[in-house]
Amino acid sequence: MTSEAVLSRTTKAAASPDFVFWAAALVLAGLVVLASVAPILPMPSYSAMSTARLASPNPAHWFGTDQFGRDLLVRVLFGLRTSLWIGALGVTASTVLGTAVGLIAGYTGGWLDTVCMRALDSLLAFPSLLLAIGVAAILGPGAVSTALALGIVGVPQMARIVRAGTLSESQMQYVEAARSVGTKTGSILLRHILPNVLHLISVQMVMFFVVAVLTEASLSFLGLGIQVPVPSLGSMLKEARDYVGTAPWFVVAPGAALTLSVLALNIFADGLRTHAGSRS
Amino acid sequence: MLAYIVRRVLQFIPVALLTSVIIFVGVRLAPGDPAELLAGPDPSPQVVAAIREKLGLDQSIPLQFVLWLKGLATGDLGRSMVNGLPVSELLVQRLGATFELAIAALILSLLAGGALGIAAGMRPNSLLDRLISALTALGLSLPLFWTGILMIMFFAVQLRWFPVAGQAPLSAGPLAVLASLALPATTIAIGNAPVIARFLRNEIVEMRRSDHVRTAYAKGLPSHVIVRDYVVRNSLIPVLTVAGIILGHLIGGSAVVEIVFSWPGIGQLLVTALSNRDYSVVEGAMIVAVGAFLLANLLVDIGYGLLDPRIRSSYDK
Repeated sequence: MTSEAVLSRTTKAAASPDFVFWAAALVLAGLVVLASVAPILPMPSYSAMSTARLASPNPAHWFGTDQFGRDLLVRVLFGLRTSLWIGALGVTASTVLGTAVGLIAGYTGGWLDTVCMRALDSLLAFPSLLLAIGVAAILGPGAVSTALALGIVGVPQMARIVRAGTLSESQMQYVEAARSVGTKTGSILLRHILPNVLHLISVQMVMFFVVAVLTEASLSFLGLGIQVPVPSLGSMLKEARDYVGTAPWFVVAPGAALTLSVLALNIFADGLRTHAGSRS
Repeated sequence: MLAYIVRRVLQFIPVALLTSVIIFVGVRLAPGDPAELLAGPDPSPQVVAAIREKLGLDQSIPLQFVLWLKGLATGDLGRSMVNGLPVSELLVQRLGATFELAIAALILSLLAGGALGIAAGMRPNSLLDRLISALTALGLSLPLFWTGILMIMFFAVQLRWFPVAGQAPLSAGPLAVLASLALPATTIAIGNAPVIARFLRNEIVEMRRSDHVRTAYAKGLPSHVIVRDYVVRNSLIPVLTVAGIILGHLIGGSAVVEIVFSWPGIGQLLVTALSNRDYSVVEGAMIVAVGAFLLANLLVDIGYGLLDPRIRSSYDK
């Protein structure tokens, strides 16, 4: 067992009861809905300033206001929107790239496989936050480059998982049969192998979504991710840090929203993995 | 055993080389021309060209890489473009602070994670196990920078138990050093103890079901002896490897926590250098962080092989 194998077992949780999984799914769905409908809710704009600076939570501003008098509830909702959106983009990028590399490397084998895997190994040699920091610094700050940085961080894992699945599927008789009747390689990969490794891909997508949301928040906290005035939970916490003594609600609101989404995602991912594990 | 170590080291070399290529190329892809940055505002083209020549930037990229590798091998990583100090000196300075924090965080993680893991593993699926499982899920979901800010808010600003930020020098006495370590180390431990707890729990649950433990029960050994000598001890071996990986990760991976607590470590150096576009420092800090991570993985794998003959033999086939 190598160190990777050791780590892949670490995060497995004790099997949680079904209702916890469904509660997490419900919270997640609620957060997604809130983030989606945020722009059409009858609320002030996330950049609307007011004279009520650093107001504590009150009936007019449920979560209080920040140093510019902006409503924190609105900003948290839009920050959540940014987190989920950028996370989803990052997951999509890593899935497309990783699946392509994994399918081709696993099916072709030979030197191409070796080259791809060594290249991915060297990406895995970077702690994921460092890799994201590096890529984000090269691409410059902003939503698209943040999503792309997340995508690159997720490629190695996804490619490895898809490659392993492809390797075992390509030994199967149905693949041999398709080959023997002259099906083109592209068609074998997309129409025969891909559907059979889809369950592996979907579990990895959810698991990486957690990493992506946390990494985006960290990047934005460091000032390398989403830029003002677009609210991001990470960049809100960066601003809130200066007000720990005066406006604790400013610190609590974005962090609690972030933690709640990550927690729900984590439980959801764990449940999905247990389910997938019992199926295979 | 020697064959295993040699093979593992041979695997390490190409990955280490590839990562250094990635760092080298990555830094050169980053926006901004270091020569122009160094030349200051409105430089003449001659000045820029002279600086470029002095830095060796007029050479071809492959040649630059070879020269850079040579420098790396001799510990010469160039000079900071901001303050002119040798990068290697900066790194050595910062590495001490990072290690101090990483070791303290690891000790706390092992203590807390170990206790929780054993408690959960001894009574799988009990109420306690579920409680610990929920606790670890929460720990894994807390963004470390938020935990850090909350820590500062409660324990430094409101209760004034600990300093708000910064590292106390050794001359300030052991108590001050520990006080400055307490909050950042606890913050990191909150994120890492759950990893150890979950891992240990699963090891113990598996170990208790294993044949040798059943045999021990069958021959009538008292159960506290079985737990101590058969279950926990055997489960701790793989935990050490997890600890090694975590330690490797913390050298660069605690950047966010270092920023929150203004801890003068490698991660903080890296992030500050990035915002100053001080690329020689970025390069050095990246090399150190990734190098530590790779080295920790290598040592963990070798250690694992030493402790577990099954690993070795799977390589000898």
